[in-house]
Amino acid sequence: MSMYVQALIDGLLVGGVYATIAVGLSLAFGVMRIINWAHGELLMTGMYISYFIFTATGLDPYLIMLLTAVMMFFVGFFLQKGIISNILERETELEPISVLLFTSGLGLFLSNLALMIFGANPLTANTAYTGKSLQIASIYVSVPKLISFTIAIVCTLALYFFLQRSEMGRAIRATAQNRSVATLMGINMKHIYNVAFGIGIALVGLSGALLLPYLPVVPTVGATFSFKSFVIVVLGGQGSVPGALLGGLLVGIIEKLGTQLVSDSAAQMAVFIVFILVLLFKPYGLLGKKDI
Amino acid sequence: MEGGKLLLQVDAVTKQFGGLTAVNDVSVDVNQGEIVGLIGANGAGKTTLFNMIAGVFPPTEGKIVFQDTEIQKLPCQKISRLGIGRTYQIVKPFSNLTVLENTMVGALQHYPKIAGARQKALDILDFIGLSHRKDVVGASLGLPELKRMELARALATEPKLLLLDEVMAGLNPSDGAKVIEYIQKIKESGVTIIIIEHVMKAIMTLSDKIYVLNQGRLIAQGSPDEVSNDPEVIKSYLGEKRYVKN
Amino acid sequence: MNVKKAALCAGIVLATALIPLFVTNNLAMQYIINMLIFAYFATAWNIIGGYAGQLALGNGVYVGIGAYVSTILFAYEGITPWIGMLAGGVIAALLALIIGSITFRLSGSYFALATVAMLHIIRLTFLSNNYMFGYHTKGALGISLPWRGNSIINMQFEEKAGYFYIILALLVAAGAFSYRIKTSKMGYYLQAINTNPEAASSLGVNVMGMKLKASMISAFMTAVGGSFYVQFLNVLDPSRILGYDMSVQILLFAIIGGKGTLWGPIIASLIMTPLQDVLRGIVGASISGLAQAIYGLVLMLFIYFLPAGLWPAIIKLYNKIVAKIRARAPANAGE
Repeated sequence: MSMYVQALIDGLLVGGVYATIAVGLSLAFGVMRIINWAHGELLMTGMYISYFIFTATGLDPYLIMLLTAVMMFFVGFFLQKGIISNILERETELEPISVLLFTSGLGLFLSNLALMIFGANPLTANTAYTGKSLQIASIYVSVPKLISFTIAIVCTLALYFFLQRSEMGRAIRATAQNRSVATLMGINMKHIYNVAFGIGIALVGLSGALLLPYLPVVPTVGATFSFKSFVIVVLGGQGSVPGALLGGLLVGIIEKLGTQLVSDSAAQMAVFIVFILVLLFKPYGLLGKKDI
Repeated sequence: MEGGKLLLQVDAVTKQFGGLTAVNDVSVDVNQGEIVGLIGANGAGKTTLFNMIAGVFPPTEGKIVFQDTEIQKLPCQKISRLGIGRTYQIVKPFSNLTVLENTMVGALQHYPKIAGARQKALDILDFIGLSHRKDVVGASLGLPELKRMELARALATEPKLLLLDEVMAGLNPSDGAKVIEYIQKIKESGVTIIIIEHVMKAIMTLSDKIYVLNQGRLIAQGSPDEVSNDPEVIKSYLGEKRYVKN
Repeated sequence: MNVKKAALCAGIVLATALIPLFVTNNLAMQYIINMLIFAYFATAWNIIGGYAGQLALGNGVYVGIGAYVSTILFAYEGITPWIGMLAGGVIAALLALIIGSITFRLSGSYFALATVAMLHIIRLTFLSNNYMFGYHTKGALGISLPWRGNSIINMQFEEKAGYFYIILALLVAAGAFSYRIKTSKMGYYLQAINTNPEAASSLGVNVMGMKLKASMISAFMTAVGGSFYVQFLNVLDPSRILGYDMSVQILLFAIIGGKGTLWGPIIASLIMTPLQDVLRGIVGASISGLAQAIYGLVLMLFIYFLPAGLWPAIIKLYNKIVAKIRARAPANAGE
């Protein structure tokens, strides 16, 4: 029995970080209707950056996360500003496939660049937290996972309140709801896009550091998280922060519990099957059509 | 003017979108060879009615009968194949195809061989005065030509009934006058037409009979003279005109 | 098709057919066959991805289906891969019908994601089961094809030339069929659906039906290619055959070359497939990931600068040059 509770807790803890990773993708899709196929590869980039800062300076990963968040914010901001916006401008359809294709090229490029430079061997960061766990009753709770989970939840909540209360946040939500009205209100849409995308990638960068203490860094880590993030966006409903949180936790639980109950591949398959079912029957996500 | 036998019968049709009733208990009779006008303020439910006839979505209540067949549950492509064609208020061209190719897509319905479809398309373009532009890509056309291309495309399917949704919107008076000519030509070729239009002069000139919608309801019907003298129509329309002028 | 163009195409095919007479290096032949295989896959994908405009990112699943069906029939039932190919194709088409009925209800990006999900579901199924439909497919270990002897009926050859001619024939057939579709009613309807499905519907086009038809044709062709591919490799490695990378590779060159064109996918595949091998020759050793990184970079550059693809750009350039020459000619004639 405790095995399952263990798996459940584990699933929740990793799920929280999944949520933070995915929420940026959700924001991008909700506000701009773009699918960033390189989302996972940007996470991978965040992880490699965190790894090397750690190896070079020995800084606490939970401090590194602030650096990577800022760095990746600018990466995202300028990626949107300089490149994606131009592609979007040319697109006549409501959902830009070109951006999907472009970012899939980006993902392909980044992951193989990493492969070329760093090789395929997993790099593990030996942080102060790595491998440590607490024991509560008969449950072992991984310390880094717990800390990362907590920070992830805090960040997600912070984002939620930012979107609800701050002026920029409200502008972002307005743009997501109705582009023409937002423009009439004097909102500079391009700037909103840049900021929204930047925030999403900042969270991805931050998550890279959050994962460092317990996940080995490999070039292929991006691919895993890309699709996971898409599933979370669909489960939670595009553009919904609470949805991304729910989706993240759900995916984490299905994964860990599924592996415990059946097998690793069965758990993965379950995630994909749930994905298809949600796409078909609840296209606006489990929570239904929602405001961000 | 008396039309031929009954071609289309819209029978007590209602359409609800959630809490909003867009069309409320509307009945329209269209006889063969007629031009029927459909007028009303924006949001009166005209395009919604068209969409139901064309099969975009089914009515919440009521029937639509075309040539003795009930069509209200049929999908778009089946309705097109039964002989109902339409144009759109906001044009939907195949922008990376030429005018000829656009028209051919319509023609292929009855002329599945490419050569035959091409010939039919050329004939239609001739009829509607677009032959000189046949090799121009849709994306390069201005609005008046796009509207005419859309008309050509729909005509190429050899419809018995043609639904025209504001074909004159956005056109200047001289282009508009040309369109009126073409519509009359189309009527003479035997096609029955239902036309939604805001340009009063056009509707009054073309229509054999007119239906007036207001907020989803039918408030008047009859000949152009009868309708233009109807006090309800004057009230709701004059009211509209004043609003528009302001 | 006018006579001049047809003659040109026939000439190209004949010239290509002569290659095995001049190339005796086994390795070089392998590279060339690889080029043709991916040109074939790209042409097959182009029907659903280019003509119909549906970004099917998970079409690699049909490569796998073709591979597994023909390999199982060959290895365990002794049935010739020629029949296995057709069986694989039919099964793939049926699978496409099922998958399509589900995924075609979704729009653009969601559709793409759903096709990838389908790919992963099937991939995981094959990877985690040692037995499929009663046959010992050995899960992730894959199947090694038994050597039944050098013959056409076994589709196994000691000399590479045998494989070369088969894939050349398949490519020519695929190209001809693709051309046939493009210039037929289906081609026009697919283009209409691609640009404006609602308008197409109002003209009598059965949008869902057409998409399914295109998908089934593409799946059939892809599966046939998959069957051939494993015969050529002599081994079925599921993580390669049903992998996401494979699924991307069969469409990557179609997009770079110009999806929706006939020659684009072929030309781009011929140019880019040997990259891995060429790089190895230049650099001396195999740098893992270099070729793929370049593919990613090239894709990005094309989507950004030449979204219509390589072939349309080449055509444009050709027309410009011809126009310039023609503009000069009258002046010369007057002298």
